Amino acid sequence: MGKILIVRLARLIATLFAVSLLTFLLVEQLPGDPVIALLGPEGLYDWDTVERIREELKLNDPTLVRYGRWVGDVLQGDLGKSYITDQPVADAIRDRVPVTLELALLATVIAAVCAVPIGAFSAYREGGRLDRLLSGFTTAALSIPGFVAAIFFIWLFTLKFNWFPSTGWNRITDKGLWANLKTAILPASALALAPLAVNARLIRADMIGTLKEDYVLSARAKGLKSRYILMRHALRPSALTAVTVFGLQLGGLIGGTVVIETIFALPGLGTRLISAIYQRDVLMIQGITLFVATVYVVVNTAVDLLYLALDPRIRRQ
Amino acid sequence: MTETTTPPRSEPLLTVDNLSTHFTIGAGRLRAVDGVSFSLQPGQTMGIVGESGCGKTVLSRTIMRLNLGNNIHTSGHVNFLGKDLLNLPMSEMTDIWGQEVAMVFQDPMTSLNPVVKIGRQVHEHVRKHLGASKTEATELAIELLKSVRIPEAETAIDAYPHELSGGMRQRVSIAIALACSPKLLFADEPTTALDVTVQHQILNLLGMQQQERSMAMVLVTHDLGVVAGRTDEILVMYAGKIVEQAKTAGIFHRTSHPYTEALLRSIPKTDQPSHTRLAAIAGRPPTLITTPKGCSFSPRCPYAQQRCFEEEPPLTESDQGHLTACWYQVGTAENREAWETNLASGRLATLAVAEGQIVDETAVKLTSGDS
Ligand SMILES: Nc1ncnc2c1ncn2[C@@H]1O[C@H](COP(=O)(O)OP(=O)(O)OP(=O)(O)O)[C@@H](O)[C@H]1O
Ligand SMILES: [Mg+2]
Repeated sequence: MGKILIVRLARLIATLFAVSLLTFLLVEQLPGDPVIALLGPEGLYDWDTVERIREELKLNDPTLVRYGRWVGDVLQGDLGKSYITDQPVADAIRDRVPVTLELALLATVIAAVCAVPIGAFSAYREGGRLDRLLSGFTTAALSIPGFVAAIFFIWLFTLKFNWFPSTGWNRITDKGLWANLKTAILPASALALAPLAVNARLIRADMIGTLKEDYVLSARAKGLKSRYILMRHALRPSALTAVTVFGLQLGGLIGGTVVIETIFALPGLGTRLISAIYQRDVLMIQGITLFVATVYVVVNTAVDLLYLALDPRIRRQ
Repeated sequence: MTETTTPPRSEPLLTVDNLSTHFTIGAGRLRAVDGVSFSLQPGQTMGIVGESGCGKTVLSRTIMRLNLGNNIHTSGHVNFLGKDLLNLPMSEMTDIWGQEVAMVFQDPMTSLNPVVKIGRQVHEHVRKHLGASKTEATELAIELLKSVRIPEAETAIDAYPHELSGGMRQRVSIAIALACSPKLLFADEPTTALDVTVQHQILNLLGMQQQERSMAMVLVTHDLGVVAGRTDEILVMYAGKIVEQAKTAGIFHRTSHPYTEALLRSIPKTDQPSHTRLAAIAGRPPTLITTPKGCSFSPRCPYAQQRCFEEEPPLTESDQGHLTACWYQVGTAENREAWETNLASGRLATLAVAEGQIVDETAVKLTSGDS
């Protein structure tokens, strides 16, 4: 067990290095310049100032030197400051992460909570009318891009029914849970649609296999109710694939909120990342990317461990 | 052992009447069970014997209504405790399953849920049927596990199936089946997946529990040696049909169907030198999809005559309570004549039996001796 953890940790660190270096190099390739972004168009006429600021920010050093310096700072716990606003990157992340994390978590919960019954009952009624109906729904959910769903939700729930606001965010700490959920539910649902469909299909496929197992028949022969058998006997052995995918999705969702946050104008990491990219705010981009990558890798490791909890046979080995 | 000289003539617990189960499959209609009728008295044991694929499992699952799929056609009647089982609504069926009738499956490796603890698997249906609280149910589970001789039952309830051996798992399955004290237990080849030594322990355990609880049992097996001395009555099935039905002693002492005779010949004898060739039955069982006219055993039968290939023999009473479906029943003069005719004409199925006959006669004698 200890050895497994060390190997995992080493792999985790290697992944983070690769991601951050790649991001650094890619941003370097973008046309444009943070100093111009900072000074605005006038910067183009005031070359001396530009040069002075470049020197100050040490932007003239070779790429790898700057990357090395950034890594050194990060290892000491310093993510640096935004070139543009002077805000420490760590503060920006701390400020923005609750929104993104809540969206991603909420979307995962919605996806899981809906996918389980959809998958289970379509498997139970394999080939029946309910199964075909649900499978049509999942196909649709998979083929509609998240932003289209988002716009549809806004049209339906904001313009038609006026149940939820279409933009903005209420923090739990300021306005309480209910007001917060009201602003979170639409973007989270739009975000949840694709993973929901994927999970429902995975669970269905797995469940169809599980329902053919002898132990499901013996559970029936004990006189247990169908729903109980589905949820207590068939679901857990069927959930292994889905749990892995949940993990991948949670990580993916944190990155995937970018578009949704933009549509709903939410103050999350995604919108911050976008503005940082427009402004060539290298350290901010680096910081946010590193953070998202870390969450992604950590979540996936946690999912692997969850596997052990789900299947006692693996636990033993 | 459980044989009684005068069986009690009460209302039968289970009556199966002209039961058929057909599957529609790509190649046509597969007659897995075809016109089976029998009845079972409370507390009695019925053995169902036949080769692999003859429809034993389908028969017991049809009676229990556990056949799954939408390609199944069932006809006939099953009466259990005065209820028409095949037409009972599902909600009533779930009250009968596990409580009035229970099942022990063939393979304990697959019939227990690998991710659910033993304890819950033993008591979950007790809680449902008898409305026991969790602590009561847990206590009952421990008691049941003790009664099927599982050592350290208190810790076993927290174990997962893979932590137990095959024999122990089958004991758990038996505990599960017995939990609500059913009136009827189906044991579908309960020992086929187990070692020979464990087989006997499990069968003895089943027999003891059955007597203690005066429960009726249907014991399915492909090995006549297993049912000898453990059943009151035996059904011999071939290709989805009953070919012989009699009291256990009748089957062994007055064997009248050639197929039963062949089965008896193929019982492995532990007291024979291990290199003795087993007398297997020549040929293969029919596919059940094409039903040839005539007796379905005729292609493999050493006594088969022209009539056997053309006309299907009905199940008729040869002795009192002894039913056989055969035109040339073993032990009759016609049968000996048929044997001589076939031997003279060099029928392969007959020659095969004749060649192995020396071994086989001892086998038959031994069997009738210890039953
Ligand atoms: N769901 C099904 N669909 C189609 N055919 C089936 C189905 N279930 C069983 N059969 C067929 O019915 C026949 C009888 O099978 P069954 O399992 O009852 O045999 P068995 O006597 O129990 O054999 P064994 O000793 O191997 O358990 C077989 O030919 C089998 O292929
Ligand atoms: Mg079988």
